[in-house]
Amino acid sequence: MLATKRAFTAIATVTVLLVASVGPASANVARGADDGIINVPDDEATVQDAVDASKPGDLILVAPGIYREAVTVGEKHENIVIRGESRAETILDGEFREEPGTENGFKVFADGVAIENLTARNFITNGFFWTGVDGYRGSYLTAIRNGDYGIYAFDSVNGQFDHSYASGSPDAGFYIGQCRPCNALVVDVEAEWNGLGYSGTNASRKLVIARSTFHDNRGGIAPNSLSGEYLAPQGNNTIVGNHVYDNNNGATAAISIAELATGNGILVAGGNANRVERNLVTGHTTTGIGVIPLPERLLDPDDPGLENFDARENQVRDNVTEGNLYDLASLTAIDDAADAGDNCFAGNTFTTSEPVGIEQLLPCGEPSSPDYAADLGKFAGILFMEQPPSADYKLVALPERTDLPEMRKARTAKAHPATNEPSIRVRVSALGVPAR
Amino acid sequence: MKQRTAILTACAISVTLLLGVMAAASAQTPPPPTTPSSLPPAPKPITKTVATGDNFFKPKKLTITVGSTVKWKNTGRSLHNVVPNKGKAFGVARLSPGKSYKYTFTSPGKFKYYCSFHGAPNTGQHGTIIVNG
Repeated sequence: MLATKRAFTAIATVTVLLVASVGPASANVARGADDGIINVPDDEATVQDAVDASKPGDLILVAPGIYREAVTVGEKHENIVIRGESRAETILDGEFREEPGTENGFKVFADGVAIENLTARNFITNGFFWTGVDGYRGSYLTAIRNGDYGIYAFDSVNGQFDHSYASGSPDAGFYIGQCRPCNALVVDVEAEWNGLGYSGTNASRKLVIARSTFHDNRGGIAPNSLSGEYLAPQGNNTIVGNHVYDNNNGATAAISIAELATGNGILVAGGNANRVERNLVTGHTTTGIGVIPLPERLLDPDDPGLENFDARENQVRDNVTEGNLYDLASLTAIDDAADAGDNCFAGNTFTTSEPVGIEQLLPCGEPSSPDYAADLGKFAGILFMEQPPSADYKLVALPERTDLPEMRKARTAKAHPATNEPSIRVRVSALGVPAR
Repeated sequence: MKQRTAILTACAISVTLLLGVMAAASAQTPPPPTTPSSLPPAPKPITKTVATGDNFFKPKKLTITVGSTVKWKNTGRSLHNVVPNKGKAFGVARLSPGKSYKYTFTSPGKFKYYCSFHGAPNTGQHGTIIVNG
């Protein structure tokens, strides 16, 4: 059977070469297949056509224009690069279409696919979505007004999001979910006007969020555990060197869990062994940096499949956090106010905390104080605090951004498929607190 | 793990004993004449649930009998849907968190489907219903 298939392939290849050498089809070969570059719309009319024509290692170069299409990258089209010639002017527009197959700007099932330097907007689900892949990268991407997430990797490992921007998603602008070890890096990104700036459900180990800016979302950065996805609980992320400010924006669209997170800068929700270090976190109406449980069962007692996730062994060190109602806060478990959970706080610049004196009660490198006790009533009050209802994501007036950087030499830069991600090397220990 | 091993061992022993008894019975006595009254009763049509999570169907492959109903329940927090690979005999365009969709399969066959938000035919979030006659 295999021999027959090979023989058929050989015959087909020869036939294609013969046809290519004698007729108009020869232009097809010359125009892209040989140099590994497929130009859209010159070589292929649509991005989807270009993807369907691609082979591993190819670069799909998309000219400026508005492309009213949704692109699926099937499993066979691995190790390709899809790049816009202009981040601001190469735009996929979903027009809020609802027919099956039109919901995501890019839906990637193939390993090693990098997408660079373009915009996806107005899709009812996600702007950019990788799922079930080994190797992914999104660089210099803009995701605006998409109905679920902006830039999203699910059940995927060995990836990177860099120099990208997301606004107007009711869930998270950036999301990495259900991976362990994720081996992923989120760096030099910006998220505003989303339900959450970054969310990472059940995303654990070797995941770094660094040198990025999260502001004017409902909530800023929220690694979390949920039973609705596999691989709970979440753990072992490093959140370092980020600027997180004013995430109190009640005018955004937001799913229910994002509404709950309103007014929080960095919220470790039901996660374990995370490191939150050297971030600048300011101007939140609830907490700057909070380590809290995620009591799913408490929120929905009728669903027997839900769990109450504790938050344990998290370290919060050397951050500057000010101008928040509580600059620092910690509660391990919803059913035991005195459980310190081996969470620790040290070296932070702060004024207010819940409980008061948090660094004395939960020091790093030594046992917690027997006097530690969280205020469960206060936590419950915050949890059930009424928040502004979600706006319609299709209608929210979002900031017009004209200052987002373009990828350098987008027309000529060599293609680097996502076969060795994360490709940006970040020395975590060298990252300091961002300048104000 | 030990408990699981013990259960598996017990099951294997039970199956072995059962097969042994059946083989012995089969060797010793001729099979009784088949009459309509001795046929095993047809399996009852029932309703089975496919949890529609973020982003998976569980179970991914479900076997039922003709006349049975499948209920897809969105147990996640994202919007999902059910789209058949072929045709439009069943499916739902939008299945919000907490909501359910039911369909009764009235003919045997293999019915593949996917969530078009998070999958495609045979990839990503997808599943199969096998309906036996």
